[in-house]
Amino acid sequence: MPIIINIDVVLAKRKMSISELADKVGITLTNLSILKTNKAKAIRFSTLEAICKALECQPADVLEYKDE
Amino acid sequence: MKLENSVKRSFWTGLMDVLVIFFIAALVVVMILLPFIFNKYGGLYGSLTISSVWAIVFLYFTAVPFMTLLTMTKKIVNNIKRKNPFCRSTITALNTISICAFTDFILYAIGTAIIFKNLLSLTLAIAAFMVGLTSLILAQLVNEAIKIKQENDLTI
Repeated sequence: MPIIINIDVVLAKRKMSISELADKVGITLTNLSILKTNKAKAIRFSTLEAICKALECQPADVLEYKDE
Repeated sequence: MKLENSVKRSFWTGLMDVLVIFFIAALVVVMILLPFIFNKYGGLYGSLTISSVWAIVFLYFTAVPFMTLLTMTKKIVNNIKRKNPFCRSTITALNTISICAFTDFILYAIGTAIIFKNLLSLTLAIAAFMVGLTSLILAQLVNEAIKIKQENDLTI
């Protein structure tokens, strides 16, 4: 998929662990790792909102478009 | 409301389970008693073109796909009980059911044409055809449902 999720980059910047993020966002670690490994087909606005809130960032920091 | 729903659902799944087991048991009993039943109600079949022994053998042959069909139904009910009805094994089971039902349809069609020559056998053939068609359509529906479920599962 040309849409890439850069959660790990933002996580490293914020020095936050993935399980901590899962706790804050309120989704399971399994789902978060599906998202992180780019296996997800879609992301709900509510999840995106929670991620942005937890990481104090904009959607553009998390999502990236790369032409293949 | 939610509790009521789950109770209702478990009631229907329980009923399905009981019905399938009852059907399997009934089929086994009928298979054991078939020669007696055949002699007692032999008149219903009208005039036979072959000896009654061969007619009974033919009926045993038609029971084999029916037994497989019921086993597959049990498998689907088990899948539903495990709350995971949309999986590959359901599709395999439905496809097997349709193959079995079409086999029965062909067997009864041949039986109607050359052995029994009455309306009862023809009705059975058409019923088997309907079962086969329904499960074939259901298999396609489950296939589509699995695709939608996967999409939904991968939406985080």
